[in-house]
Amino acid sequence: MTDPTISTVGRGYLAELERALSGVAAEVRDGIMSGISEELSGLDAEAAAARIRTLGDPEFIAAEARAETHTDSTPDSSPVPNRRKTSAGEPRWFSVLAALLVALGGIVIPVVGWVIGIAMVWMSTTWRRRDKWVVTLLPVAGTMLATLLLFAQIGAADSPSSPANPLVPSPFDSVWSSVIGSALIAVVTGVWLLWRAKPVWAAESVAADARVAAVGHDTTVPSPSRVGWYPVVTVLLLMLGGYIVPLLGWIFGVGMLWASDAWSRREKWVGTLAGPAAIVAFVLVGLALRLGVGMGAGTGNLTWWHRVLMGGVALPFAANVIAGVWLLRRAGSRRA
Amino acid sequence: MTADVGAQLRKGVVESCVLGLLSREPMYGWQLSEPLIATGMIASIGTLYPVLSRLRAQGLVSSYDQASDSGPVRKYYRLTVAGSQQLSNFRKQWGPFTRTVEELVGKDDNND
Repeated sequence: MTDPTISTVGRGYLAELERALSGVAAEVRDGIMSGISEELSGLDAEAAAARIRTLGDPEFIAAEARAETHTDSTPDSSPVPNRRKTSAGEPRWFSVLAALLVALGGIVIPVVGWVIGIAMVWMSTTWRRRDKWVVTLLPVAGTMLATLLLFAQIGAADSPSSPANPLVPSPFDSVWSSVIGSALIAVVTGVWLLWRAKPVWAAESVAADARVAAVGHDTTVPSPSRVGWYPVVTVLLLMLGGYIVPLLGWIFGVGMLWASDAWSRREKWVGTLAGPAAIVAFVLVGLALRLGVGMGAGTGNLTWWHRVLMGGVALPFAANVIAGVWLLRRAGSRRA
Repeated sequence: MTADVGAQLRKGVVESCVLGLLSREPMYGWQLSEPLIATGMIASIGTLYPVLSRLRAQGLVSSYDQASDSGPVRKYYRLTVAGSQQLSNFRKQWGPFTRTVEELVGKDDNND
């Protein structure tokens, strides 16, 4: 679908349109996408913006397509998506924050900050799935490569027949080089995310102008930030309550969660079990490592405090933050 | 109430209007949508493609790719033989139908 003669603004509009058409029958969606791509093909940015204003709001086009398709009762071969809003309902701060957390979150809060950023990237509708996979796998691939190199060096160092080579970095150097390399990769991928988001933001601005021109006011759906105080307080208690008033604060947050009608039963269970599931997972992995072969030296380096911090603080905190952000977005989409 | 009645009326005839436009010449999507949007038959191009999909499924319309006058290759739509027959049938029925409806609606107005 990527026509090189389509301008950046046009590509952004098409990306927004493709997201809006999520769930529409494949044949109809492909027809709309190819038809509008034809209209934007070969136009410079200014002409494309003018044509986009004529075409109108992608949400409106998609709504009309859905209405016409449902009226026809044509079996929809596309899977019915969840009720998440498209990028027209996603505030720009969300995608900016996600990119920043990917870039710098892992430096501020090692690993956990980056994980939260990646989770927000996957929840965001600003980027394509391919972009999300690149951002997720690139640092992981780099870390795995560094780990393999480290184990190879450890194995070579353990060999009595191989003398120490001053040109080969020591395992200590490799570890620090990997850490610095991972940080650099994270920063590069975070900046790359912002660059990939720019045409989408540009198209959203043009589409917003089209909406205003069509109806005389902005019809942007409410952002998830305007969900009301109750869901926000509930999510904050889930994320932080257990650290302010140990355990009880979190339990109170769970109580508010289940008392609210802002979420479905399934969403409430996710919000409730995210933190405990992270703790259980950490314990199970720890037990598996203890029962594993040849890991005695590795686990001995982790003191009791390390394990408490990791399993009792960092991991459940990350899980609760990810679940909390997800809950706020679900509450926002339901309110809209 | 008026808007709902209008929407229902338009839904009933929009497919025939598309056939009517294509009877003049093969057209691509945006070229079809412009007169339909201008006359209020459809609200946006999003309505058009499901209609075209139905017409193709019924064998009344077919499509082909062709370079347009402005350059890019576009998908053009044209009437099939069955589509021409369908349009002809609609034209034959439309006149008597509108006269019948006008007569009935007119009587209701007189009784008010």
